[in-house]
Amino acid sequence: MLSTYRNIISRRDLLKVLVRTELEASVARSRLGWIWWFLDPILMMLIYWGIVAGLFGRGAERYAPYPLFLFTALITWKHFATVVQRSLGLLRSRERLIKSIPFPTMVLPLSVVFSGFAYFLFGFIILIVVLLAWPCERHTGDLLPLVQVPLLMAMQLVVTAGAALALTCLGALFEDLRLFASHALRVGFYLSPTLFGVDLIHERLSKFAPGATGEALFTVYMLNPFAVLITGYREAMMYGQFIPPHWWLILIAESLLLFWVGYRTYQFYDRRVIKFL
Amino acid sequence: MTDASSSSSDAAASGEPVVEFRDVGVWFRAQQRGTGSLREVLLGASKSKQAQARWALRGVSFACHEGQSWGIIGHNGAGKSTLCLLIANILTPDEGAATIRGRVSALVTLGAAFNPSLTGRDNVKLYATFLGIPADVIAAKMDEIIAFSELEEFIDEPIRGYSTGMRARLGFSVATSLDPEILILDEVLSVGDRAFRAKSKERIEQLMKSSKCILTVSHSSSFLRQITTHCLWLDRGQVQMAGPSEEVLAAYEEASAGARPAARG
Repeated sequence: MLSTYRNIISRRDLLKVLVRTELEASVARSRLGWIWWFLDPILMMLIYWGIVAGLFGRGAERYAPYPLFLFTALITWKHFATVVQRSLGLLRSRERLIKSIPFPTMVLPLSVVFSGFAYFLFGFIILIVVLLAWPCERHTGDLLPLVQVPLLMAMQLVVTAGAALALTCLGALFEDLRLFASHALRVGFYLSPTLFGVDLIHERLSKFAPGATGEALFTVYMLNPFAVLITGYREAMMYGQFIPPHWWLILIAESLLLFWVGYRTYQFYDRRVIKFL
Repeated sequence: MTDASSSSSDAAASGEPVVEFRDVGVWFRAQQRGTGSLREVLLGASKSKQAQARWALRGVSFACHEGQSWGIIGHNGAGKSTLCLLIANILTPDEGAATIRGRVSALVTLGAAFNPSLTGRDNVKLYATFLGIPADVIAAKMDEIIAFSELEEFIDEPIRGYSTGMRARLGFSVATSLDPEILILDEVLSVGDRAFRAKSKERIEQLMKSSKCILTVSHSSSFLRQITTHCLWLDRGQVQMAGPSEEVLAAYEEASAGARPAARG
């Protein structure tokens, strides 16, 4: 059964069961069970907060409350990074399954994308609860920017799915990619506005090249979809502001393009890749 | 040659063949570890791909009609498993065309969909969903499946604690819960202890009766003689002979008997 969108839609029950299975298995494996869904992002945030605040003693005022500023970026990036890492080894780890039952194998990377998104949503719940209890001083009081959040989430899913589809095939063909990926993801993490805000990049770039060149360089920086996503969540959730329309354009265009590339790549390798497992 | 021999002997078979292969070829990359993989990508694979490609099957043509039971015979590496992957719609041919008309069930690897952290019951649901069985049918058949596996006592425990035999029993019970139209069997398939094996043999015989077409993979000609009407003899990815079991198996036995002393000497 080929991985066409029609077959995926007709086998959506399988996708649903796979996502549920993944979440249930994550509960069954550990003693604390579902508590880990919430504990994991909090621990991750505490570690980075400890490093940045303790070692460099900065960031606290400018991005107050810094723990939440950090948390927003970490859960977003973690969704992407986990999905990338898991998709690279996915087909090889399910070789026996793929070679024993005909099914559109695209449900495997998609289930990784969706279960990862569920973990992201659990993190987002924490974010909402804490923001209600501890509102930002800089918040404009305007709640309308929250309408950006569902669209940002949709684009995050599209970008991540596109990357997952392409990397699932490529990872099965070239095992070296998996070894390379952890380094590439680390670079991506530090290049994205995770520990700092894009205003810092803007400031540095306009100092480095004043005027139009600096602005152009900043636009290049914002071509990173995660720069827009993370900033978008922060502006909407923490500060009650809209992000500029041209960032939206960049994000939507890039997401759809990446998804299209990923989908086409998967369709090309769909059955071919099985021979290489 | 194969087409002619099978169609002449199938005067009784009517309608379109259930499984039809026309000049099918599948190539594999020779397994080479380590060097060259990245260079191959960057500098274009065409030249080295040619060098590394190995045809697992080539020029394979045959047709199975309703009511027939085919045996697929050949030595290790003759392409039998690849042929099964094609019939099961898991692989698609690189050359030629393979047409499969009907729902296929391959009783070759059982329970590969299982997740060890989940209970037996959840794994039945998971495996059955992979097999494409609708949720309401799974729910209706659940008790029957569990009863057949004889695992009622353990069904709500994670299958991590199951023995290999218990997992195989559960896998077999799910995989055989729906009547397939095309059934692929592996001779070496044996499940559980002696009592369960007898039961599973009975179930397989039942499936064989209800399915339109059966394909059995084996390298034992005496076994195939009992259960097949037709045979396909594969040798190094090519059809050596196809047709009524008697003729093909006799030729196969003769060739194997002749080849062995010659190879030693």
